[in-house]
Amino acid sequence: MRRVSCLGIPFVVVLATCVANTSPAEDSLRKAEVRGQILFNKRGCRNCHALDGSDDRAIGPSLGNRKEPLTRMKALESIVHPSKDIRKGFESVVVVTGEGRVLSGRITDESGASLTLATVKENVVKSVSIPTDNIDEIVEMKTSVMPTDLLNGLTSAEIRDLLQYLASTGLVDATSKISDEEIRHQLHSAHAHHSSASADYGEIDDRPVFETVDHEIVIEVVPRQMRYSVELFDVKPGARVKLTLQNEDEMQHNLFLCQRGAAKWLDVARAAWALGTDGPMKRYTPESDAILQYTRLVDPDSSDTIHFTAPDEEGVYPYVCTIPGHAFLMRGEMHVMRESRGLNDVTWRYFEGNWDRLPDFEKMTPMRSGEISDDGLLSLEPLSHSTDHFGAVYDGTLNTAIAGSYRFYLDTDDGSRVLIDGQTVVEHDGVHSDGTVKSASVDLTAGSHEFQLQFFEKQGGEVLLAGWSGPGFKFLPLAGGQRALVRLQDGGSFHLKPDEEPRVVRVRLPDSSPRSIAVGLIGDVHCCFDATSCYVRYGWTGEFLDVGPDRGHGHSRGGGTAQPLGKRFDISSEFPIRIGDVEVPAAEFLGYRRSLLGPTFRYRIGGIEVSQTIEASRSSRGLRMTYHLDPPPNLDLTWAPSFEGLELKSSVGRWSGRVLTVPAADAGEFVISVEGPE
Amino acid sequence: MKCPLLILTALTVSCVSAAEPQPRTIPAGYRVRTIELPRDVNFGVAGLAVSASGDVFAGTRFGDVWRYHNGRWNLFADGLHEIAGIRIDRASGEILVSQKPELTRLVDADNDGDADLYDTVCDDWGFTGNYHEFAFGPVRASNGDLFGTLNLSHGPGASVGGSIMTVGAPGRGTCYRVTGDGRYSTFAWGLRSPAGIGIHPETDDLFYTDNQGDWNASSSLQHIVKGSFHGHPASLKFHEDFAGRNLNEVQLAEYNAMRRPPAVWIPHGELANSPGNPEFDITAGKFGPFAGQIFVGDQTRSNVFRCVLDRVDGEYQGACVEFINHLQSGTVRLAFAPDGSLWAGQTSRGWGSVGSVPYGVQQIVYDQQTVPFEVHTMKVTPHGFDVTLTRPASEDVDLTACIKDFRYWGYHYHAKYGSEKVDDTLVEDAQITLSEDRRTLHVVPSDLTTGKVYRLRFSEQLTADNGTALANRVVWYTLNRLDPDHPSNL
Repeated sequence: MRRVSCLGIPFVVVLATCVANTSPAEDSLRKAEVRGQILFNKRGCRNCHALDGSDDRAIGPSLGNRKEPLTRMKALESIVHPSKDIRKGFESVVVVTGEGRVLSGRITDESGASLTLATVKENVVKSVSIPTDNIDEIVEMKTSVMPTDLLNGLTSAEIRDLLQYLASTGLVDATSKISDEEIRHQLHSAHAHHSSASADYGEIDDRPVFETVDHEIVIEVVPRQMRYSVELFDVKPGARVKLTLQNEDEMQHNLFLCQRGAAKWLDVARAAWALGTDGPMKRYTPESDAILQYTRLVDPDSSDTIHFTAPDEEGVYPYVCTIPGHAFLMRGEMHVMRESRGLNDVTWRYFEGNWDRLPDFEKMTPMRSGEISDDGLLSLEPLSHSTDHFGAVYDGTLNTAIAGSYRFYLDTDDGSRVLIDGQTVVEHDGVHSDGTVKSASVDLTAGSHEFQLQFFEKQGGEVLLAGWSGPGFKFLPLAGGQRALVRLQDGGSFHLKPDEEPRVVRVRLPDSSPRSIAVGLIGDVHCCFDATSCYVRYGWTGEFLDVGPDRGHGHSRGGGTAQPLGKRFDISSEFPIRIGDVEVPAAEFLGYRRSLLGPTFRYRIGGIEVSQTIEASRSSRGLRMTYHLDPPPNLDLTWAPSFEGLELKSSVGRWSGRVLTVPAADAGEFVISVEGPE
Repeated sequence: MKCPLLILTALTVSCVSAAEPQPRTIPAGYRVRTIELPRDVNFGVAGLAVSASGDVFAGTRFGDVWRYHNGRWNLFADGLHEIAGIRIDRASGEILVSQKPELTRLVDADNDGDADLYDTVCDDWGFTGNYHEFAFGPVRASNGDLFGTLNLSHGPGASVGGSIMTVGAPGRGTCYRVTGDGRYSTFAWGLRSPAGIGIHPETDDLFYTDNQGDWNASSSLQHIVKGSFHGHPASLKFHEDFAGRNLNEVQLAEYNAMRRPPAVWIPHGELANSPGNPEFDITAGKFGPFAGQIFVGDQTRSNVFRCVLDRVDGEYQGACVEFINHLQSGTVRLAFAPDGSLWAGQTSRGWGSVGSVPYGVQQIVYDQQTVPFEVHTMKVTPHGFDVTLTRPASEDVDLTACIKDFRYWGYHYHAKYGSEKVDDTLVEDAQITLSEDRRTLHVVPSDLTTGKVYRLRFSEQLTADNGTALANRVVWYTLNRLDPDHPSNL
């Protein structure tokens, strides 16, 4: 029997201390923490603050354990007045480089020949190194980069939840107190002027409205990420532009388009911040020569549209949100350019032949040739190709507009290759079906480059999807349009995040039966529940799940295996409960209930119905599992994981090695906490 | 279960515009509304149902259930494993979702607008995780029994006659039943890709559609009865009568003798390649003159067609005719709403389809007054066929010129993928007469052969009393049995 072999193996850690069954008070405290953590995610706090004590990557200080926790009052004050007391080492700077690029963030290292800056791009903290001799200017900011309006619209109860969560991270002293009156006072001190905001301050009289426009740009505020959905768009000189700012976030935002010059946004933003306490009243609209156009201050779930004529002069025109703190994450660039970014003047040549790899098309005579019209997207359609045994070469001019690293993507059936300036950049040669993305990067200078895409089809279906990404734009299709967008972007990966509620995802998972369930908990700890045999197979910490192969962008026929993303700790490879000396019969899965702290799985073993609630442990390193057995067994129960190295605790019973024995009298309800190794 | 802040609601921006693009072929009096979807959501629909209050529930292949209420979508449930069917009970409101590993009941126990209980109704069938192991349905009979269909596996597994569709686990390629007390059993055998199941609203007769492929000459609508075998032998691996037998050594004649022929062949490449669920028109005329008939969408051709059942000697056979051609995406699901409109759930994922978008939802609305000119029914008579029309034919119709082409053919029953037409024959000697009310064409060929598909193609000369021509001119009839009064039966 399994039990005997288990006892023979030395276990690593079993703490003598116990976890307790949850009292109603603890349960409500835990729910407050989780609600607070959801707010922390939703208001974008985790974009800049690490939770694990590591300050080196983050823009803001880590919220991990501190030697001297803040009181609730002090913590709240720091959130609504971030510039009042900036922690040493977290002053922010703006760096202007020789090429006129502007980066903002926090200096993490300036000892060597280059300066290292922690900056946030697309919701991810990135470390950027800039050679010192390529820096034109470093502007030290006197204010914090942290926005001052992060708590706007929250109720006192929600702020209490947030502070409760911060207490659970060790940032805030859990024993400190704050009254509703004090919360109201703090919020009022930050937003005293909102109520007196002049309704029409900064309004432009008679804003023009064009009946027809050359460019229609819709920029959304990405919820919870403090950024614009479009961080780069191109217009032609003198074109009529219609620009809409659609605010999908929970806070107010605006958009100020600035005069030519990559760093001009800083002039506008600083002028707005200099308004100080008048800022809200003046709707963050400063007097500045650097302003070209601007929207109104846009409320959540609202939008504002402006019409304007693009400047005649080619160049970079930045745009920015002027609300204090927002500029460091919320900005983009309008490029005025005569030549379109991307592919121009594309011609195609059509060949027929039976190949297994791309042939040397240059040595062959095309059967037909032509031009790609309209949108410049490569397509098989104009070739009037035969069903099988054909090939094509597309030639064109690729305009990059900005120097930098560009990535090219291919997903084709059959083979293909992209060449830039005569050099192969990415190759996906041979006979194969589509569904696999190949990509590679290349550094390109600003301006025009020779572009060539080669393609061949042996037999069966044919698919040509291609795209590229580069500085300022996430992904643009080169062939295949929307289909390329959904399939190639992010290389086909698709990460699920349990940011706002625990996720319960039925999907195939590695090392578990086909009937598996991925559980993603608030607090960055997750697990795989095997719904065939009804037990937690393993847990993991960190990011949740990549469902790209199966569900993400949805091009496959399904049936793929999702990938857990974090650090895994194995728990069991079989059902972990035994009752008395009797082998437990196969468990029958009955379903689950979802709730704020985590799901409750239900299953039946013999005549006993078990419910097993899975929550994140307080440390967020493991799982807290609450078992209810109805009716309770009339024999002692044992519970044991199959794997070693786990940190195990329980509310009742006696550990012997990693085997927990729960006396029959206590077996109706008990808690087991399982944590992976540190 | 979630606090109010967490409810995921996607706003839909605009209503139908008057100039909304319409399909290539659509009968007079009908129009198609394209429903705006939540932004940035993969919405490949493979389950669709409408509640008694008119809320539309769309289950996606990505595992979400979305509810459409008052012009807005909200996420009702998520994290399911490739939904391929939804049923909502119009009386009790019970929501059942068929996902690959199980049949699940979704309950909004805390009444906050989304499901928090995901109760397992049945997970007794075999599931290896193979991508093709879809679970379709369910439908519920009047006694409470639930029925669903289970796709064969693809690739590894037990193959018969070299079929690419295989059995990786028990239950694959069958129709199952779950009785009121939760007991699961296999109800019928020999299914391949049974992408839709439907039940007659009055008789409880079960129908399913199958896709052309190995052991399936063409797509078809089939009538299921307890223990019936529908032609693909792979599922018999777990049939007690075949215990210990090597299915690859069983003679084709034995399978053929067991086989229940399709009630309606849906000719591959002509009408449908991947038909979805048979949806009975329960609207009693609110959706036009086709009450009681079956509507089916096709995933490949993005069309909608009708099946018109005929009952001969107690057995179903009948006709099929196209209804709407060229919707925006692969139309795998149809569901009637209480207001009489027909909702279409669409996906092109994995198997390409006609149309401009990868997925979508469209609503087909009837103006409740125009009588379109369409073939209404086609039934066998003692000497030929009666084709009834939805309107009287025009006074000056030239009966000698109203049929462009009349032919019949058969299909092979074999392990190979699909079948060519066998003995494709032109019928040149049919007599055509018109009933006194000008609504029924009597089509009488000199001879009738069973086991054949008869195809009538009308010409533009066949016009209605209001001068319009047929929107859909081709009708196919599957002649399994002759009328009891046919001379050969006397």
